[in-house]
Formats: sequence, C-alpha cells, structure tokens
Amino acid sequence: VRKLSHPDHLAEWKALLLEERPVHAKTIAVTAGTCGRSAGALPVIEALKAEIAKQGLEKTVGLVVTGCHGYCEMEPSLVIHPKGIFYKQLEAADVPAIIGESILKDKVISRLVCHDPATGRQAVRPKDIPFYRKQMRILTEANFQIDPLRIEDYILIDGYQALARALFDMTSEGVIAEVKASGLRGRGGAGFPTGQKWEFCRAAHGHPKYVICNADEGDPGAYMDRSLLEGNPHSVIEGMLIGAYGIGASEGYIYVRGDNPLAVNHIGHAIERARKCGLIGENILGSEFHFDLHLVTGAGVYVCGEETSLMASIEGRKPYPRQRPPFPAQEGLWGRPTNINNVETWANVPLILRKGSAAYAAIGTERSKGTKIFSLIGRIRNTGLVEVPMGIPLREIINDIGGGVKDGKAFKAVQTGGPAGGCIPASLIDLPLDYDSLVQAGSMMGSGGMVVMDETTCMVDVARYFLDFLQDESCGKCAPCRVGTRRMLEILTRITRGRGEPDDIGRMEELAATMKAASLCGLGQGAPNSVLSTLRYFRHEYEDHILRKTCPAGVCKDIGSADPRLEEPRR
Amino acid sequence: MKVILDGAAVEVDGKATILEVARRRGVYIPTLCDHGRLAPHTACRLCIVAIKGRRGVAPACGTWVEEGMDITTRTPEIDRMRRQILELLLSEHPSACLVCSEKKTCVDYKCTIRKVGEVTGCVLCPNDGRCELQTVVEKLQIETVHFPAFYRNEPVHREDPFFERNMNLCILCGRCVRICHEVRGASTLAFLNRGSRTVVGTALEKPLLESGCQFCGACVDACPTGALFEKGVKYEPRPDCEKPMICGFCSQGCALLLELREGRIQASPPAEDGPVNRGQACVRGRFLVRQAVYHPKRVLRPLIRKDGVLTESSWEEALGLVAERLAAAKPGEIAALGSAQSSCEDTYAFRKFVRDGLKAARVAGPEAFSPQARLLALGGDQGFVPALNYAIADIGKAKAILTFGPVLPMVGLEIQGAVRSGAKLVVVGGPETPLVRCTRAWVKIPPGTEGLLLAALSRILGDEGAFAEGPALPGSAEFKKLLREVRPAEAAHVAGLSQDKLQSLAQLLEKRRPAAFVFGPAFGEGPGGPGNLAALWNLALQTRGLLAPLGYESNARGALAIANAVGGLSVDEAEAIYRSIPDGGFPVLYLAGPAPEFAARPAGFVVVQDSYLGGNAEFADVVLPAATFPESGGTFVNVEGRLQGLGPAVEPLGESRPGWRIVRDLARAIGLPGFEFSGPADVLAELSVAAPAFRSDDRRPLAGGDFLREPDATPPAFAVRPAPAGGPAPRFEHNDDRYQGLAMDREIRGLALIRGNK
Repeated sequence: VRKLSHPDHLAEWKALLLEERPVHAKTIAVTAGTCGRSAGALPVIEALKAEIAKQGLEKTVGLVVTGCHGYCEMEPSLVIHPKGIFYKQLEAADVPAIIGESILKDKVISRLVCHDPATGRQAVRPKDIPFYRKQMRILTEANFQIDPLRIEDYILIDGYQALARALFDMTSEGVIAEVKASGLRGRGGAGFPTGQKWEFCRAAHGHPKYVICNADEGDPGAYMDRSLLEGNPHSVIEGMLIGAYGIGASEGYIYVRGDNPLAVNHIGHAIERARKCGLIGENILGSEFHFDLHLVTGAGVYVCGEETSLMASIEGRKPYPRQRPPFPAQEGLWGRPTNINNVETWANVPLILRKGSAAYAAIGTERSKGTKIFSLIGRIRNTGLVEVPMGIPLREIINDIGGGVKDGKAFKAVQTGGPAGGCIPASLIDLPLDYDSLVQAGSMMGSGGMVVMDETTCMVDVARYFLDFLQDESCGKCAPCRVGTRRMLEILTRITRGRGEPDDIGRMEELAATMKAASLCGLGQGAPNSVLSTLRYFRHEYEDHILRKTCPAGVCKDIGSADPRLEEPRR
Repeated sequence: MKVILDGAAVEVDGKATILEVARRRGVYIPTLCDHGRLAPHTACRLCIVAIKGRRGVAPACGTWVEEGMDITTRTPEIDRMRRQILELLLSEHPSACLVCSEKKTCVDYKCTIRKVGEVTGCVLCPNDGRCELQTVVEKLQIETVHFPAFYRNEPVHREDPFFERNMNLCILCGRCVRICHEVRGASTLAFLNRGSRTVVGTALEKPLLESGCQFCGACVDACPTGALFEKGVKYEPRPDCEKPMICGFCSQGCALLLELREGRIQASPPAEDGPVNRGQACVRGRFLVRQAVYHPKRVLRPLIRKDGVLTESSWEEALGLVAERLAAAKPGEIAALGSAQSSCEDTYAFRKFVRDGLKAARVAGPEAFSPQARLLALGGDQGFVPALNYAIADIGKAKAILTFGPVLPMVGLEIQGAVRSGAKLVVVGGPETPLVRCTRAWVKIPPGTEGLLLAALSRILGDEGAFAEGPALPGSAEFKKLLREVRPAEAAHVAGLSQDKLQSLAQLLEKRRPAAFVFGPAFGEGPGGPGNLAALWNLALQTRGLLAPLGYESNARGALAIANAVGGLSVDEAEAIYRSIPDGGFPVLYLAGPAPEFAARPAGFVVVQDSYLGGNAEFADVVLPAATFPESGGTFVNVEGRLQGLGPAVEPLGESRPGWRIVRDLARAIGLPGFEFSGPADVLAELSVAAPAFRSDDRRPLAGGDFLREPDATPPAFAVRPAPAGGPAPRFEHNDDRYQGLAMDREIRGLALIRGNK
C-alpha cells in the first residue's frame, strides 16, 4: 500500500501495478458475496486453490474472490477471464474438470454453462446469457473483476481518478453542478434530486458538516446495497469523498446493518486501506481537502433507514424519527448540516465524474437518469440482482431478464418499493420503470426490491404480510403508525380468516388516509400503501374474502374457521 | 413577523410554534404530548394543521411559524383525522366511560358505576376528572370508538414508594420519559421495546428504587392520564381547593401548590410559577408534606412529665410550669436553642423573648453554622462584610462550575441545564451524587485539602496573568505576593492529583467565564474550614466568579439576619454552647431547635418545643407542640436571600400552635410586656423595624419576592490575613432529611427506602 500525496500518484501506482502484476494467462473470478457463500462458494474456492497448487499453475492462473455477480440463481458461479466463460451452480467436485478442461485445454464444459431457453443453445459468456443481455451493468460491472479486499484492484480500474478530477480540476460548486446536470436522483426511495440536496447542505450555515451513507438496507429481499458494499466498497467511499468535497463536509459516516457482516467487514477494510493510502484523512492527494470517515453498525432496526432515526442512532439515542423540517441539510447529525444519501446513490457519483454528466444523462428517461439495480425475487426463474437503464419496461425484466414466472404459472403482480411500496398488476406489464411512472401506478421505486408473484399468491395475504412486517418494525413513537398499523393488521387478519365485515374495506381506506397524512415519518406514511395498491388493483379479492368467504388463490387456509384464537395476530 | 391563522392576520414576535401562536390567540388545538418545559415530540399527532403551500399536514407543536405562513387549524378532513387518531389511542386505553352513552347522567347519579371494572373505564381511575384525555375526548366530541378495544395487560408496578405505574393507562405521549431526561437529567424512565409493544419503563425493568430514580415526581405531574399516580391519594376523592405554600424542608424555598380536601392536605405538587423551582420539586416537597404533617409522631397536645411519664396536659398548665421554672432560674443558668426551620416571625419572637424575657440566657441556633455565617466570620477576620445574596439562576448561566459537596436539588437542575448548554462541571471531593454523571471531572481529593488545591489554582491562574479584567480589587497586591509562596506541585501531590489535571482545571477556569463555585455547609467546617473558605473566596474574586453557598435549613438566612440584629453569637461561641449542653453546662434548657443527641439527662429542667416527639423528648420535662410549616405559614428567606411569605394553608393539627403564638402565650404567662402580637403580621412589622435587612429603602417592610437587604456589605476584598483554625464540627447531625424532630429518612418509610435505611 502506498501513501498517495499527489493526484499523479494514482496513475503512477496504476502503472506500477500493471507492471508488477503477474502475467496470468487466465484469471478465475469466483463470486463470493453473502449470497454466493450461502450457496457454497467457499468450498469451491478452496478446491480451486488446492487444484491450482496441485497442478503448479500459480504462475499462469490467477484466482480472484469477488463480490456478487448478480445471477444469484446460478451461484456459486465463476467467470474465466479473458474469454469470459461463465460457469454456474458449481460444486467442489467440478473443480478438477474446470482446471483440467477449461484452463489447461481451453475447452468449455457444457454441463456447467447456461443455455438460452429461447434457442436452446449454449450461452457461454455473460453477454450471451439472457439474464445479462438486457442489463446495463455500469455500477456492478466491476464485481466481475475486482477483489473487494484489494484497493489495488480498484486503482487498476481507474479508481479514485474521479476524486482527483474533482479535487484538482473542479470547484466544489462545479462538482455539484455536474451532479445536478447528470439528473441523478436518490436511490434510497423518494428519488430527490441528489445535486439539489447537496446544494442545500452546502448553503446551510454550521460547522462541521457531515455526509452519511445510508446502508441500513432493510426491505425484505432487497440486497442491492449489500452487494455494492461487498463487491466494490471503494466506489462508495470515492462517491462520499467527492460529495463531501462538493458540500464542504469534513466528516462522514457509513451506517451499515450489523446483520450484513460481510458488508461490514469489506467496507471497514476498505476504509482502513483508503486511510492508509491517504485517501481519507488530511490533505487528500495533496489537496487542501480533509475528510474523515467512520463506520457505524446498526442493530438491524428497520426504522433506522429513515434519515432522522439513523442520525439519532449514530448519536447513540433511541432511533426515533423526528419531525422535518428542519431537514438534515439544515440541522442533521449533532445539529449540524448533514447530507444523507443511499449506497447506490454514492456509488453513482464517481461514475458521473468519470463519464461526464452528459454521457450519464443519456441513460434513462427524461426525469429518471442512469441505471437502477433491482433485486429480483419471488416466483421468478432467474432470481438475482439486475442493473437496468431507467425506464426499461417491466416486461423485459420479468420475461427476458427474469426468464418468466417459475413453474409455468401465470404472472400476477410485482411488488416494488419494499413494504411501503405497492403492487403492480400483470395488466401494467408494459409500465416503464422510472420514479414517476411507478408513483403513478400506486407504487414507488423504493430502494429497488422487486417481488414477483404468480397466480398462487393471495393479494390480501400479501398486504397482510407487509403490514405485519411494518407493524412489527414501527418504532412506536407516533400514534397513527403505532396503533394504526396494528388496527389495520387486525382488520386484514380478520379478513384472511374469513371474519371480514362488509365495512372493512371502507374502514381500511379511511384509516389509511389518516396514517398516510398524519404519521410522523415515511414508515407510517407508507405503511398503508400495500393495502391501498392491492385494493386498487385487486379489490375483488378482498370482496371474495369478505363477502364470499373464499380465498381465490387458496392461500388463506383458515378462512371460515371458527377458532377465535386465530383472531389475535402475532404480538 | 406576520402569519395568517385561520384567515386572521397575526403578528408574532420571535420564535414560536404554531401551537404557541394559536394558544396566545385563544384558538384551541388538541394535543396530548406537548408540555411547556419540553422540546416538541410531535408524537400524538392530534395537533395537525394545514399550511398553505405545504403537502399534507404538519404538527402545530413542532412547526415554527415563518413569515407569511398561512395556517388553517381546522378543516373537515383534519377534524376527521384527529378524531380517528384519538380513537386509535382510545382503542388501547380503557375508554368505556369516555364514550359511554350514559356519561352525562353518570356524573350525578353514578347509575352505571357497577357496569365497569377498573380496566375498562374512568370511574375507578385515580385521574378521573382531571385527565387530559377526557378533556380532549370532550373537545373532539368522540362518541364511539370504531376499533375493538385492546387491553395491554401490563402488570401494574406497585413495588416502589410514592407512586405507581400502570402502563395499561399509558398513551405513550412520552412526557414522563422526556421530563426525566430533559429536565431532571435522571434518565430513569425510557421507552422499552418498539412499535405496538412499546411501554415506558426502566432499564431491565428493574424497580425504580434500583434504577437511579430520585422520586422527584416530575413524571407523575407530567402524565396526562392516570398511568403514573401518587400512591397515598389514589383512592381519595378529588381535592376541593389548592393553596400555595413555600416548602419548609430545605433552604431552596420551592413553591408548592397544596391540594386540600376538607382542610386536609392530600398532595403537594410543585407550583408552575415558583421563582426557584418553576414547576419542579424534589422527593421531599413532592411527596413528604402530607406524610410529615400527619405523621404519627406529631405532638398534638402539650405534655408534662409526671412520675417519669410524659402526660397530656392543657396549654395553661404547661405554660404555667415553663414560666415558673424559667423565671426561677438564676442568671446564666438557661440555654435556649433556636431553630432555623421556623419562619422569620417565629424566630424573631423567640429571639426577642430570650433576649428580653430571659436576660441571662445563652441562645444559639443552627444558622450559626451555616456557610453564610462562616462567610460573615471570614469577612470579620479579614476586615470586610461579604454580600450573601445571589440567584440560583445565575449558576445556570456559568460556563464553568465547581461544586464542593452535595448540592440542593434545584441547584442540581440548574447545573445540569448549564452542562447541557455547554458548561463544564467539576465535582470536587464528596460522595457520589447524581451530578457526578454529568461532570467533566470528579476530582476525588482527601478531605481537608480543598484549600490547598484552590490556592494552587489561584497561583497558576495568577502566573498566567488570568486575573479578571477590571479595576484592581483591594488587597490584590498582597494576594499576588502571598501566591508566590504557593507551590502548585506540592499541592497537587498532597491532594493526590497529577500536575496535568491541576493544569487542566486551571485552564478550565481561565478559558470559561463566568465561573460558579457552589459549596455546601461541610466545606467550611472543621479545622481547615476557614482556610478553605478564604481560598475559595479569593479564587472566586480572582476569576470574578459567582460564589454560591448552600445551606440545609429552610430559614437559615432569615434566622442569621435576625440573630445578627437581635444579638447573635460568633460561630465559636455558638459551638461552645452546643458542646457544653450535653455535659450539663446549663440547669435549664429550652430546646426550640435541633440539639445534640443526649446520652443522659442534660439539665435539671428541659423544655422541648417541637412538632414531633424526637429523640430528645426522652429527657423533656415539658413538650410544647408546635405547628408545622403548612399550618403556620409565615415568611422564609431562602438560600439566595429571597423573601417568600405565605399565610397558613391548613389549621394546626390538634392543639399545636405556631411558634410566635407559643412565645406570646409564654410571655403572657410570665407577665412579660412587649409580646402582645395579634398575628404574624404584627411580628413582621416589628421585625422590619428591628432588623434593617428586612426593610426596603423607603423603610417599608420587604414584600414576598424581594431579596434581603444587605446595607452593611462592603466592596469585596481579597482575604490576605492568615485564616484561623476552625473548631471541631458541632456534635449535632446536619441532615437535609430532618424536619424539626422528625428524621424523615428513618421515620417515613418511602424516604427510608430511597436513602437505603432499612
């Protein structure tokens, strides 16, 4: 690790690294994010190491342990560079064949490669695989190549060059102008224009100023941020450094869930490395810019993703949200101007500076720029993380990238935006996925969770599930959310147990209106969304449950049961 | 700035929330979590209003008005939402009575009382009739709750003294948690769990006794419902009147608002407008007034020892006996001990009686050992008269605070407030107190080394040129010369401090002005006491800091001023009297105040004038029952020098009488002229003539709220003469928890538990 005290040191170091790098004929990149590890990546890696040693190939074959490649369905997987052969669903037993056939003899092992279901032909390289073909992986591309524990790998892909550009070729205002021009909007949920947010914080009076990376990703089944922190932590750090320079902040915090230990580990490691290199600390790259970065691990409380709760948690208080205004840009962490962005937003920043705002703004729709990572899960064939340009039709994600609904069932709906989001019915399958269209459809972008449902899903039960999640995660501070979610859940539970009353729909709509308007924070305001959006598109299912006491999907087994003990939901 | 409230233009000065502006205009906005002393919590969401140009609704309590803001406090939709939110709260609060169709007739006829149990309605709730939830339900006209009732089934916490916690009645407004944290700095109560399982409780759900609770009762008074409720009055009917009263348990002079029912004290919550306490109290003022007044150890009729047994008698007989024995005593045979817990009226009458009626008597009182008396003694030795008045509120404005020994509760709150707004606190020596939690440093030095430490600080500050700016004070040249002989390194060694720590203390005093030095009675006691005081006096002068002496007894300042006017003794002389009494130095004893505990009969004839049968009643020949402070009222001077006077709130219990009346009747029995007082006003009028401290510039008597006058005070000067050695500490117990002859920390169970006395 080198101490970098001049912008040119980055390029010099890169040149040196290229020079020193052992010339491997082939490099094997194995996916080992949390998802890959749980699918069994570690034994495969051990076996690869052993086999390479056994064959004496250390000089000619490189092995890189990377973060998630996105295609979680096929994990553990690996890519053999430079040809880019993608092998799926590996076991340790496959390793001798991989080394023996593919490395030594350049043969493709057909049982380990993917096939295009449309043509039935082999799809060897990622770009041939339907899952990857329609994606635009600009944030996640590096996950195929770099070892997140090696800052050298990030330097080799021109890492921190965008920071150098910002520090030496641009003014703080220029950085903000560039981000504004890119049209980047917050990836955490609400989609507030990032540059504008920075501008507010820059203009606010108070010292010091803080930047925070919100990595408290808590939506069920959503793991975009975890994957970025695990696979490419330095891109987030670089984004924060650039943002801090633009805003005039001197300190930053990364608030990450403690129940993502690998992400905590990788980002913590990256911070230490960056500090050793002089990329965090005083006079960064020899400039006048000072910045310190801290890592805070949260205890896995959903409401900590709300910015004011998150700050309370960093301050060591009970994570209760507080009324805004004042917004964090005016009074944030410890009462100082603070800018909070989500992991994915920060990761976009170096990209914008590297490519230029115009090139970035060329991606996406008029009001939603760039790409978005979605976490595609549920009743879908290709589960995984997909990065697509904003505005891509839902159909392409479900049918082309996702490979359609599992087991040949009919597509019914997709739930987006996390528990506070909503359901989009199959009839809207051509909906372009951007911030505004999703809101119009009664859902939201959220952080990018996407739960696919088929005909065997009961929409009342889905609403009940998300409401149960939220009433459990409600912090309990404000009355509409604390008591409202609970009463709403009781009504839904009653309906799914066949004890719904004809007035219940109206009662829920009225309660939803109160919660939406009067709750203190986004959790309570968004809590009724799952009910409202399912009522909007699947009202008949509610009516079936209430009036006809049947569950069309056959999910609500207790319907019609007279057991009064079933009345009481989980507490 | 101008804002529009419900269509009307309103002029607003300074920072204000919408709720405050609306209240000033008389516009009702319902709220349950708002509290005047607390930061907005914005949790109950009942105060939602619409603001033109803003999406949705905003809570009035947590939204500050801005120029031109157009606010609508009521729309049909806001009313609907408010009602629904209240219904949500009521669905988790026993509300059968709140929405009962027979509510109106029930008030008069209790026709439905048997239809509800405690858990479903208000009828059996201790807070019935003064519940804020009831008020809001009335205002919002809730007639039905459209949600099924949900009973939390939380266990009722009855394990602690003084108040109960029934979280089934809690609406989670958070006022108790917030006042415990924001105002009292105790942070004993907290929100436990989250979401719908949230309850207010203590860490690990331990009893309050084990959770650092001070039992100040602030949470009980802040609670809008009956969730937190005082134990003793729980099942008593509602009070029929309220009377203000100055608490007589300590020298702060907190204002209480006694709740009375048929002439009996039920509870003693603090008064919101008390100049010292501003709506706060401590465990004694909040919970002990009723218990002390109606304590079983009260003496209700005069007692005379007959055949070795104290027997009830008439006032006539008792006074006759006392008069006879006092008159028969030879010169110098009588010792009379006063109290510093009686009103100025009582004290003056007693002092005058001893001076004029018992010419040869020696008289002393505990005020002679107060820090104020010791400061006066210091001035006497050094050739100046110190001014003793100060304002507790000024301690809160200090940037650096040093305390020596335990502090009074309200002073503690001021200090905590100062620390919250950035002041640094250093606790020097003493036992661990709640304040230690918010100190920058707790300097644990051996007792007796305080003076050395302070002199060393003066020296370091002097070296750094940190004499405060302004004209040089008398004696500063000599003081600087004296400082040259101080060896900070040596002092640090003796006090067991590192040099660095000493230096950082000095830096604190240099950088942070103004400083405040708060010290209790123990600081000036003992052989090193005068030296300590001189060193502290000099350091405070050097830094132009505030010197804040504290005291124990509720009227020590008043008693000191009276004693000085009517003929007082020096500290040494007073100590000599107290020391010689147990050894049989005086054949006749008149004990109107605390005395050392006697091992054997101390005199031939002992009169005890007290409200309680305390330890010394064992040796009494006559016991004269005195009234307690709520029964006698009167004028008290608190530790700041603030005069506060109020009439009696209740009739004296039994045949007990206020002190001034006992004196008058005794003088009458002896046949002594000059004591024909018809009431306390007469005594006060005479006092203001006799003691200039009680007279205003235009010679009128001082009124309540005025500060004691200090006409003799001289400009401050450095104490440069060598300080004499102090005598041994007096042999009677200084105790904040003692009221007259009642050791409340032993005789009142709840306080005994809190103080750890089994």
